[in-house]
Amino acid sequence: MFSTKLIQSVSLISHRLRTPLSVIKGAIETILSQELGPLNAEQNDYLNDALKNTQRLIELINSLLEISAIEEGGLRLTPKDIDLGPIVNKVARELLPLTKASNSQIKIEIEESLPQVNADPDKMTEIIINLISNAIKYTLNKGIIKISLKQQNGEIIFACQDNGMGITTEEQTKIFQKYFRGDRVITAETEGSGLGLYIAKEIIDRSGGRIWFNSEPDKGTTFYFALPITTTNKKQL
Amino acid sequence: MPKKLTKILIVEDDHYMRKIYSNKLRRARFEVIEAIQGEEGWHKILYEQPDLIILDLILPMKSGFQLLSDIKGNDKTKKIPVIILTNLSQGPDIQKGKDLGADDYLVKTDISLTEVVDKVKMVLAKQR
Repeated sequence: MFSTKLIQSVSLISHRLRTPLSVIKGAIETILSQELGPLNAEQNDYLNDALKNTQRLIELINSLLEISAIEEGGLRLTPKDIDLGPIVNKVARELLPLTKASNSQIKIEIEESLPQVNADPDKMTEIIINLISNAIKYTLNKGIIKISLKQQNGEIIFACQDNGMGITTEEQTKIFQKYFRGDRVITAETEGSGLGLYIAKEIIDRSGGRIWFNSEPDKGTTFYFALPITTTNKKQL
Repeated sequence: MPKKLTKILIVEDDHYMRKIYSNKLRRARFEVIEAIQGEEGWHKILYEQPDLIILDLILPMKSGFQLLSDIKGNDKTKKIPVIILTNLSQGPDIQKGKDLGADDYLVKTDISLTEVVDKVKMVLAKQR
């Protein structure tokens, strides 16, 4: 357990790092847009690497800020009655470039007239992005990712199934631990901080839900989360 | 007579952020004026009557929330659209910004410069 002072320092420094990083990101984007003049292929390539790595730093800092908030007991959720279906569709659309770049396919199956859940829409978006992008990353190439949303026993169940590298039995016990990254995902040179699933679990737990997975090495993994239904769908009455 | 450019005030205390957003907006054919802190921002709003304000929240002298509240509480300025551009990304801050009357709330690290210009154009189009 970290001391409150240390957590507060990490939070403050992380927050302050965001401004210079925003400036670096903006400067690179401006040069890359070529509105200041043309770039040759190598310049373009290096600047794209710089932009990608700036984005990695921003994501890492965002995770650190969230972890600090969790450790301080200050993770603030703003729950509302929301439909998860549109969030899933929006995230899948936003991840299209990543999906295409890895030659993967996303198949979505959403039950009709699903009731709403009471959860923070921004945090749910963040979790769904994390689970789907993990599925894309860890299938390495030509992955088939099946996303579904259904109603079962008073809950909405989200599932994200991939046909990727899977998680070894030994690693399965550690998957929701802070900073944990499996040996095989490191060897495969996939990017990640080992914070996404830890944060996802904290948010889902604090939203009154559950998160879990089934996995078989070399066959694939399915991550699930379930959230209690809080409203009755009028169409079903 | 050359066409009068749409005037945007950027209230931002970080020199580099101001520079990057101002230059981008000028290239997109906007007239840009700048303020470094909240109180200075308030004076420029009253004297310059900008068409739109881009507002940071953590500012010296007067916070962005306070300035937003002043803008929306004054008959001369309440109709000027305000876009918050900050690195405060927690739900309650976003809610507070919207409750105080901001037209949009953008998080600097999550949005590209081009998207900021697009948002400015969208908010101005809604206003007209």
